[in-house]
Amino acid sequence: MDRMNEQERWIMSFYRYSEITGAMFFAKVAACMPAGPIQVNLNKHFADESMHSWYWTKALDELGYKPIRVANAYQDAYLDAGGLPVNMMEILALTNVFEKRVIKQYAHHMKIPNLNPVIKQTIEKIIEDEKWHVHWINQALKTFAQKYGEDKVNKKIQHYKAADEAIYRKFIQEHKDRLDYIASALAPA
Amino acid sequence: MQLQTIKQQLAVFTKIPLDRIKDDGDITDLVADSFMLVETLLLMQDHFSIELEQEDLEEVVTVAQLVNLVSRKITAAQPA
Repeated sequence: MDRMNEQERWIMSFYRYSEITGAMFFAKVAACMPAGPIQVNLNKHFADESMHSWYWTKALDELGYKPIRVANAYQDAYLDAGGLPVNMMEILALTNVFEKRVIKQYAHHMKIPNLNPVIKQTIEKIIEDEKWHVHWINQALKTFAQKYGEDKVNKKIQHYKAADEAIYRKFIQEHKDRLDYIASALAPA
Repeated sequence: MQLQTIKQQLAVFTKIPLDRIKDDGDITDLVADSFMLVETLLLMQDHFSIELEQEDLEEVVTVAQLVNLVSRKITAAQPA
């Protein structure tokens, strides 16, 4: 396998594993959530993440790549850096920050010129769902702001934003070579 | 009595036999991963009708500390 294919395979595997991890987490949270609109949206959210992992699995298969077993999903780093969220408001604050990071990363990936159409179409499908994820969570956080106060909710979001920035810097540092290689290999001559 | 009830519920949610849950044990040893710990804490809050916050858990490491925290929250939530 040439180096370009190996980098593509790695990043697609990373996305796949992160979607799987997200789906598993939201499945657990959806199971704990009392009945109501948040439970309904959480269930859809976890179903979407599960579907996204399927899209990446299918894309990898179409390109003839076997998924790589990735050691840690992006989300694992959040719990280390930002601490465990223990109630629904904190979970949604963390998810709000995380989903925005996901959209940014996918949008950034889409900008790579001459991107493989299989990857491009996969990201396009996923990003539409992620936009809804951010929307429903923003709405849910507004209802939590009525309970906890806007200040408290905003502080929690800022807390996870700070964690996210630290994680992302580390991610870029660790995988810069990989990401730069993909971008430069696909750049027009 | 309340502490024992809380510990029993912890055993139910973690699916670990009660006699294997030690007071001085680390709560993270009761679960496979952090996501399961979040799930367990959500279930405890729902079952006992209490609310925990991230800051409450900052000093909590052991089973006894978690059980005592939950007990304090239950007591605080009772009508005067």
